[in-house]
Amino acid sequence: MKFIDPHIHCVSRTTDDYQYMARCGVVAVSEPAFWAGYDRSTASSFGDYFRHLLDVEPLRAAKYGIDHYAWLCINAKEAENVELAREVIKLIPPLLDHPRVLGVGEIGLNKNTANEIKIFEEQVEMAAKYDQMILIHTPHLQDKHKGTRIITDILKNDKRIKPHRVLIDHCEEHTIRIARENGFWSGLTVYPVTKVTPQRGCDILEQFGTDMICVNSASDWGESGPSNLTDTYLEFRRRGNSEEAATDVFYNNPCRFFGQSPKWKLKPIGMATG
Amino acid sequence: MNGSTKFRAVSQFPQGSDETTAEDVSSRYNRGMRDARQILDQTYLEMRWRCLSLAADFDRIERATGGADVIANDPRLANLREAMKMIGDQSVSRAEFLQMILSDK
Repeated sequence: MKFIDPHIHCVSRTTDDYQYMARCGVVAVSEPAFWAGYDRSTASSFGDYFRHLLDVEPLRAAKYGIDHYAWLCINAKEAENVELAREVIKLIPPLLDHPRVLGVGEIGLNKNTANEIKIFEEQVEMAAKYDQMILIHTPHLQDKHKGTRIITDILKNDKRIKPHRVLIDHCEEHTIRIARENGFWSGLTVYPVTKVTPQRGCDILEQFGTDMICVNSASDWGESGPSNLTDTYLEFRRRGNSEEAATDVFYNNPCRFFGQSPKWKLKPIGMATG
Repeated sequence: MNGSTKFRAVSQFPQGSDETTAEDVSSRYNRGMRDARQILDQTYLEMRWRCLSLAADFDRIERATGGADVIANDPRLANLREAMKMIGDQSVSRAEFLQMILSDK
C-alpha cells in the first residue's frame, strides 16, 4: 500500500517520523505554511521559513524516498498583524514558480476576525492573480462552522476561483457539506483529540463517499502524528473496504487534487472497486 | 506506607535532595494541585472528543443494517442512555454510579 500525506508540517517533525512514514509506504507529502507555535517578529523570518520549506525539507524527505511539496502563505493566526502579513505576502509571488510549490496555503481563518478576513481576501486575490491552487485552513473548534461558511462565501463570490482547485481542510461532520455542496475538495484531518478520529473519519467517508476527499495527519508540533493517517487506513480496511478503495482514498485522491499542478508528478494507480 | 520511608528523588522535583521523605513528596504534590477551572481547562478538549466519539458511535450503529432496532432495543445501549442521563444529573461519584449501571444486577 502506498500513501500520500496531503497535509503535514514536516518542519515540526523528527527524522523518526520520516522513517516511520517510509516504512509504512508514504511516498509523498505536501506541507502548507503554518503558525510555528509563536508569532514571528519580522517578514524576514517568513523568508527563512519559506526557504526551509522549499529547499531544506525536500532534501530531508528525499533521504527517506519521500517526495516533498509545499504551499506558501501567511497563516490565519499571524494574519491578525495586517502590516506584517502584507510584508509577507509580498515575498510569495517570486517563489510561486519554484518546482516544489503547489499553490497558496494554508490560508483561511482562525478566530474569524476582521483582520483575518481582510488578509484572507488579499491572499485569495494573489492566488487568483497568479492562477494558483488553494489549500484552506478552517478554524478549530466553536469557530469552525461560522468560519467555514465565511471562507466558502468569499471564494464563491470570486468568479476567478475554480472550486475544484481549492481544498477546504479540517472538515468535520458539521462542515463537510458546506465544502462538498459548493464543489470544493474536502480534507479530513485525523487528530487524537480535536478534529476527527480514525473512526469518525471513516464514518464520513462512508456517508459522503470518497470522491474529492483527502485524508491527512496534519502532523505538527502539537499532539499529532503520521500514524493517524495509517491508523485511519487500518480502520477503513477493518470495515471491509478493499485495498483498491483504500488506494483511491489514501493515494489516488491526493494525486487527483495535486495533479492539477503540472509540478506534481505522481499519477493515480489502479482502479477503485468500492 | 510509612511516612519516614525514603524515596529516591525523581526528575520532576529537581530542587530536591537525592533522598526525600513521603511527607516532602506529599506536600509538594498538594502545592501543585489544580483547581476546578484548571482541571476543566486541561480536560475539556478530551471531554468534547469523547462526547463526539460516543455520538458518532450511536450514529454508526443506527446507519448499519438493523440499526433502528438495535438502537431502540439493545439493553447495552439502554444502559448507556441511562449512564448519560446520570452523568448530567448526578452530583457526586458519577464513575461509581456508572459502574453500577453497567454491572450485573
